Amino acid sequence: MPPVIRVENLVKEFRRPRKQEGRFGAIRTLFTRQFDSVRAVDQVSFAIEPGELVGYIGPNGAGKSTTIKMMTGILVPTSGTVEVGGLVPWRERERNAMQIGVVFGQRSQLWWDLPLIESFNLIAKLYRVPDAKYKRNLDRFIALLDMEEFLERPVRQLSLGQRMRGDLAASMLYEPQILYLDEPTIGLDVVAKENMRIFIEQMNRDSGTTIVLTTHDLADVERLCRRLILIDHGHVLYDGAVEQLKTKYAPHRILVVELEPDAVSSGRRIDAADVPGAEIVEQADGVARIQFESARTPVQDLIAALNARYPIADLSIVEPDLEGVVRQIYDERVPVA
Amino acid sequence: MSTLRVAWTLERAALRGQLEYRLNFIVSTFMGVAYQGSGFAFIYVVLHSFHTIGGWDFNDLAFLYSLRLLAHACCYLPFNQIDFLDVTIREGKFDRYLVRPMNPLLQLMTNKFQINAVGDVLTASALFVYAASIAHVDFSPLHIVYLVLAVIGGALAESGFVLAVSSLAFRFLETWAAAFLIDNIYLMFGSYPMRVFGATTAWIMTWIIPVAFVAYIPASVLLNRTNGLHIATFVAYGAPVIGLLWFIAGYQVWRFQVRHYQSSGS
Amino acid sequence: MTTTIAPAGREPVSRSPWRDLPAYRQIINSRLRTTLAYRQNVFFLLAILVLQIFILRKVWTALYQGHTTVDGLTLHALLVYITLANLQNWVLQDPTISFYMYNRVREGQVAFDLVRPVGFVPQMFAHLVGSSFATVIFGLVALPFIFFAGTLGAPASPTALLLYLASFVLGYVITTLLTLMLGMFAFWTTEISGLTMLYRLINQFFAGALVPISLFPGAIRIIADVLPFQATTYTPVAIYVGRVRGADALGALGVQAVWVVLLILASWAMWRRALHRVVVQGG
Repeated sequence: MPPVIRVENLVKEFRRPRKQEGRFGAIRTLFTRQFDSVRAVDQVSFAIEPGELVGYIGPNGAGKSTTIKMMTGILVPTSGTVEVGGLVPWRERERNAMQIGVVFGQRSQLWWDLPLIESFNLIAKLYRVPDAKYKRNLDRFIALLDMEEFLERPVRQLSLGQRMRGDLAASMLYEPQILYLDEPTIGLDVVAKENMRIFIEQMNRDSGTTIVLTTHDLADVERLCRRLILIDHGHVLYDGAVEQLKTKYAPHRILVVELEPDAVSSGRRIDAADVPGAEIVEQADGVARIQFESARTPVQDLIAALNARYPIADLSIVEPDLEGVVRQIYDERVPVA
Repeated sequence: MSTLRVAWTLERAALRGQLEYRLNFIVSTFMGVAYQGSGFAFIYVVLHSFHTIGGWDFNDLAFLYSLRLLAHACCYLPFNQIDFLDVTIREGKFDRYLVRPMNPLLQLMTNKFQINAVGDVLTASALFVYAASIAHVDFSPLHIVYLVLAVIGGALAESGFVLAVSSLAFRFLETWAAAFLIDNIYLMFGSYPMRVFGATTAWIMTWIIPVAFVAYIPASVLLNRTNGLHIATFVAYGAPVIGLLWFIAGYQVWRFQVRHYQSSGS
Repeated sequence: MTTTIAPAGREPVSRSPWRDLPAYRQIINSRLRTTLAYRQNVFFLLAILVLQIFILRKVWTALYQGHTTVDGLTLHALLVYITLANLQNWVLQDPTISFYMYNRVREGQVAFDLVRPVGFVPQMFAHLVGSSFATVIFGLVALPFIFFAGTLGAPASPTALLLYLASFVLGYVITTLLTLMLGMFAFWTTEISGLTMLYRLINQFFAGALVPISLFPGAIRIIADVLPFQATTYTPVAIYVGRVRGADALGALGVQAVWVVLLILASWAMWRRALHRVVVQGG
């Protein structure tokens, strides 16, 4: 099957007015105006297959929102190609709109002063959803997202979690084949976050909706996505499986070893010479944290070596979490002036 | 047609939203009346001592003023939300209009029901009925057709220009002041006989900014004052067409500017 | 509201009126900078002013056709009146302060303003002074254009100039008090933009910026006389062009002074009620 989203050599430049600094700066700029050109997205390429659930992440100002906005047809690219479901989004905006759903976590698309249900009715009209289909989807989402009790309440009186559920339902009422989620869980509590994730997962699995998710919360990505695109300074840093990212950027695991209480009281410590190919990063109160690279030092060798010489009470292996991996990538990146 | 039906549904929803704030509804309607009526107070007061401005007496001026109000109300009722385009863009709401299967301009227009527009319509209608009864208007069938077309044309001329200026908001952060300036130009220059301002200004207000076509030229036709006009009579009769052309031009500018939309931060 | 009374014999914490001066300077300065930062808008507002003066000159010139003096004013004196009245009215108005107050009330920031050691009303006063500085700068920039659009002329006499300056200061205080009261409506209503617009129109008309009050007919004249707006613009400018002079001028200054006192009392009462509202209803 051909990819549903195709992005090639995508570039977006912005012009921003330059501010005059210093004393009377405001007065000095009375008549002058200078512009800086900023490349927010620089030669980005990727393809997304139908039914994928992809995490699109990067630090603030990395260019992820700008990419999403070009994919949805909000922004016109400076150069390069975007094709979504065979359409160029900005050129065929209204046709593209029919096939995509967009949720901005920060901005609701619901009608502020009207009851939630009226927003749904209006969306159904806007997207020309046939009555039977609308009724079916509405009932399903009301049950799935547990919206019954606040359907009749004006949106402005809803809690953030309730409003987000409403927004998510609104963007799926017309069964778009692609769903863009921009920070859908921002500001939500743990339970609300989990509800959102379950719904997103279900849409992807049951309806086969292709989903592109941008988020700051890497737990979202870890929980939902198999594939991840990492972007920074407008460039793609990584595009591939989440698991592979970990082995590539964070090859180290930590083996936590706890010695028997008797040994601890007699002051025994693990000697560095006994763990070849690994490094003891911390050792106190009979608990040692040993860092190793699983590709080079097989964990069973390490455990066997320790078992032979020390009385061991407990053993555990700590996998790197995505958060730590990504932080490490950001820390190591070359700062661009 | 189905698009217009959806737009109408959205507009009704916007009205329902505003009805949530009943007190504001009343206050705003009153503001609309006061705003549009206040310019008339000036004419009333000065003509108390002076009787004519540029050869036009109170009755003629009242008719001119009410015709301008009528055209303005016909422009403002559908297009008032254009004034908020810059705010809409800054708050990032325009993004949403671009990902929905409907013309973004129609979505903007139906975003909120601007209550004071009702006040404008009320003032304009009341003043027009009053002025038409005291001014020496020749209401022949041809003139009535012309009147209707001229009011629509005047509304289009104003909307087209406002649309073109407001769509600068796609490039600049704040444009309300520019829109406010345009509003004031229509209000100030549109309410008096053009000859008062001298030939250069009259020309600018006819051919650069289509102010004269909104009320002065149609009023001159209806009051049989075309011999005092600064343009040929057949052009005066063609005022509605010129209004339509301005609107088409304004909409093209808008479409061109939408492509430069930069969205906001985040 | 409770008032703290210092026990006899002990000095209360420094209550010198100059104590808060640096704070006020800071507010004035930041307000000035903010207004200058939004200069793009101010230029358009200035353009409206210049056009309004131009239109009024043209309309009044057309009105004067066949007259040399109307109500004791030659066309030249009238045009000077119109030009100066509009310029002054523009420079001394701050249309933004009511929005500023409204936003602070709506977003609950007014709570911060209230807990600051500097009183809220003096803070707002400082804001107004700061934005006046800015508008004066803009007014100076616009002066050459106004010179062409309208008619500028010397005062009727040296005495007229002195009386004008005194009357101008009183007029400024009255304008500021009125604007402050307008801003305080933010504690009661959300329809602040309509209210501000309405105020602008009423003020412009009844201050005599379009037509000198002396030309108002019958009932409208009486309404204008009992409203405070005429004391902000008509009084000083009519003195400047010599329409009001001698004992009349001194009387007009007296009326202005009375308005200052009345408005201070009114705004104080209004502030007390606003504060009560914040305390009781949480804004």
